[in-house]
Amino acid sequence: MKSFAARVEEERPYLVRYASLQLRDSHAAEDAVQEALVAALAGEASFAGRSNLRTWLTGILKHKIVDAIRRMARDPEPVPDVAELDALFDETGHWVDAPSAWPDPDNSLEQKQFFAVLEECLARLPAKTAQAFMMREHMGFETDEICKELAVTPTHCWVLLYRARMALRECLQTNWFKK
Amino acid sequence: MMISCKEATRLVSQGLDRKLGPWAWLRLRLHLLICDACSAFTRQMDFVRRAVQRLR
Repeated sequence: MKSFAARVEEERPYLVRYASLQLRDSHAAEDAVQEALVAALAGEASFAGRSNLRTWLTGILKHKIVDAIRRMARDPEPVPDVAELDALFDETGHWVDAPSAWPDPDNSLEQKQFFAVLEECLARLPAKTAQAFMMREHMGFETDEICKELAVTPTHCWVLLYRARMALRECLQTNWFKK
Repeated sequence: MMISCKEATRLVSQGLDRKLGPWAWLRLRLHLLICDACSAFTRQMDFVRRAVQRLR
């Protein structure tokens, strides 16, 4: 008859698949399974008398998965820096330089020179910010598709789009709708 | 209840990408009612969207 340790080890591939499905991160899944198997081997006595090894192991693994999810939530993907936006607002969140209506903006849409300025403003955006913005506003993608394509979290995605809009507004204000 | 202009601009931007929750939507509407600067900002964002759609 196989040793307990060998029977536990045989369940590893199943457990990794189970953990991966929930954690969406193969490294985190393997770590969680490793922790679960170590705990299982240490707790062999508590398995005695139970019939289904897989069910018992999965029960231990669930706790490790929850631990991993908590760790992931505590250590989220860093959100891109929006420090450049801080200059637009004072410490109470009021505009430093309040926007006022742009005069006859539709007239600008008839002018070739306006689009040259707009392209120049777009060219000044950081690469990923510009990619996200153009996918959204020019190609009309939904944000969840953009997040997937750029491999960023939804929060990161909102920030990229927000940052692009703020930067473009500033750029157009300065270079086209002069004060 | 009151949000800052900074927070309002963030909500205006998010509102261009998804439907805001009722609470966020209400707070933004109340802010825009009393804030000319953010109202102008909102119209500018609509304009930027139209302009970028017309880029060739």
